Amino acid sequence: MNPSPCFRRAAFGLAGLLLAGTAQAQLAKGTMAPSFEIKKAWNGGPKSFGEVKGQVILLEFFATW
Amino acid sequence: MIPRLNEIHETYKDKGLIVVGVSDETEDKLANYVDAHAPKYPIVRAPGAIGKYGGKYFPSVFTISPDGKILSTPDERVPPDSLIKKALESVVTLADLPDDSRFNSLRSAYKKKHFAKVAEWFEDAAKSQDFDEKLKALVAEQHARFKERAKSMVEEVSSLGKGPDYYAAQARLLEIRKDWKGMPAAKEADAMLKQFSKDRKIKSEISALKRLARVQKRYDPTSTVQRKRLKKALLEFARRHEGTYAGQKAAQSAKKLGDK
Repeated sequence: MNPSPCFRRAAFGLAGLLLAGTAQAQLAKGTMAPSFEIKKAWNGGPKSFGEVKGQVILLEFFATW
Repeated sequence: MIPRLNEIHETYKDKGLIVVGVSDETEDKLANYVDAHAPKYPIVRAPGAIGKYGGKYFPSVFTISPDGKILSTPDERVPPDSLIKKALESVVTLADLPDDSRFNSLRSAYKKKHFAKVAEWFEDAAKSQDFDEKLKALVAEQHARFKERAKSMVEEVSSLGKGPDYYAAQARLLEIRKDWKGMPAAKEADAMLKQFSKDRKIKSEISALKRLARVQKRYDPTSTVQRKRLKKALLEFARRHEGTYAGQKAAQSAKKLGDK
């Protein structure tokens, strides 16, 4: 599946937007990945972080805007 | 990002990898997003998650190993295939074994993280006459994956011993000692913990890091007023703990708050 040029541009544009209000520095390679609470899941997503432990996990933090 | 993640999801979903899109936005917005963009991988709503990872921009992708360690950060955008393949080598995929009662005790031990029992099961299975050649090969494959994981745990213990975040290392070592009880990793973790408790420098670093965590928890960084107070507290902490890792960490966090 090829990303449309339009989507690609949009994705790069978003990547430039900084997030405000995080005191935590970006976690470094080798540190433990913190678990978090899941409120709702779509596409058969996990109901808790513990559910996916033991697999390789790719977490994508995204924004809908 | 969605097309590439769809591709990764399709390629590796049956091999022990899961892609999860995480957002803290409202349920309505996310439902619309799922409808409009139709990502093939799971999406979850998890307020506060991004703060814990310190993601700096959207989208931000982190790769996490089967043992819960961060393997790649958003600095690499999306992890390369080579990294994913390497990480998958130590994923035990019991789903590859037939849904057969002979594997019940293995599955249950694995789920409960009774890894010594899992190891024992594999050792017995290797000698057992219960399996035909095809099944034997499948079991051997999972055994190899399990051994790979056990080996990576021992390596993790030794890397935890190097610090500098001895507080996080201590918590992780306790976890390893519990989960891998009866296995080499637990023995090594136990020895490392004993070493930590004997080393005066490590001990004082741990207590400083513990205090730092308490300072950080006291304030809500999303409120402007509290952020200012947090920054002040962090700078004060850094001054009092100069020359320690905890002090360094406090100074870094304070600097980051100042950038906003």
